[in-house]
Amino acid sequence: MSIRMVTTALEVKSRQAGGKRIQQALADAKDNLQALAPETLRLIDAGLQEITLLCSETGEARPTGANLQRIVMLSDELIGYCGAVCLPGLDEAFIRLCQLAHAVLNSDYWKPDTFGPALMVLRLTRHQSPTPEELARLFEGIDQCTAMYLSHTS
Amino acid sequence: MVKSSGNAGGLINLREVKALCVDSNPQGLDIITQILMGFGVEKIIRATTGSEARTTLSREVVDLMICDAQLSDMSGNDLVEWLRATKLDPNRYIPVLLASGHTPTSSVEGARDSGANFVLAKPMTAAILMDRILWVAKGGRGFIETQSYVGPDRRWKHEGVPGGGRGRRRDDLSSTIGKASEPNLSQAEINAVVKPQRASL
Repeated sequence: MSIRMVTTALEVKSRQAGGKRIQQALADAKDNLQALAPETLRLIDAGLQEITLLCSETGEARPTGANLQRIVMLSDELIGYCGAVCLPGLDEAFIRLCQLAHAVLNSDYWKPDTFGPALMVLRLTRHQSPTPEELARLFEGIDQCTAMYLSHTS
Repeated sequence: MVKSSGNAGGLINLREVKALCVDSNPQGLDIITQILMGFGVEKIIRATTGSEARTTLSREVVDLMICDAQLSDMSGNDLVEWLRATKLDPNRYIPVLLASGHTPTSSVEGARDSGANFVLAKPMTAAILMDRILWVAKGGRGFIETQSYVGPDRRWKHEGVPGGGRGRRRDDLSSTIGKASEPNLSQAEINAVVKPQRASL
């Protein structure tokens, strides 16, 4: 085993004279993200529509493995988009959908309308402004559902 | 100059830093790029696949890599593991930040074991990315090479020599507690050492 102390170019360059105040750098980054917000919002809506279709196209039946994988991938992608839009709770709603879909994928168990509450929370956080208390209650319900699938992991 | 993580009044100069951003999703790539541009990074290379990133890393010297955990042709972990195992100097030593939306413990451990410096939980905010860049720019983390692992030192705390044994390092202390060589710390000094300080930007 060898341990070496390497001074990276990032260490050296970031210490050079000049540059930006960190507060300013953060403000500039936020401004840049705001410019991306309209397009990001359009992509979030399109993704949400696709997820809704994937969850509901089999009716009461369990979504196929491929559809579940797509839901996991898509929600993972959409979590990343939430940094560019200011919609409190939307990122957490996508995280929970991702966790739930992942848990369902790894379980043989199925309960009809499993994704209904998660989809409802997504629509709520996208179009309305639920209070933190309301959100906490809704998320708790989704977490319980995920825990149930995790306890039935195959 | 980098002051320290959590010091929002400090200065950072990222103008000359060459960053490689890898994400199979164009919008995800735009988000990372725009944050970095806000930070003052002027040299940004974008790659949409792991193999594209490999080509860039084989041809150009890069100072920082920010990579999504799920790429279309391979996982972010595989890309980092490949990079650390290559003989591409100095790229194999660069700080790597892996971004993941779904972060169960197993995937965080997987990223750590592949040789990534940090896992960034999505959504990536400017404050979190800056905090992580300040951390890696601070340096001081050893680079480990073993048969099963190549990458930054994964140990964040030193727990001392295992019980009953003698340390092999020159600076390992004896497990026998001797007489105090210095006066006791005051309560304020103890608080300063053990009270966790939350990083805030």
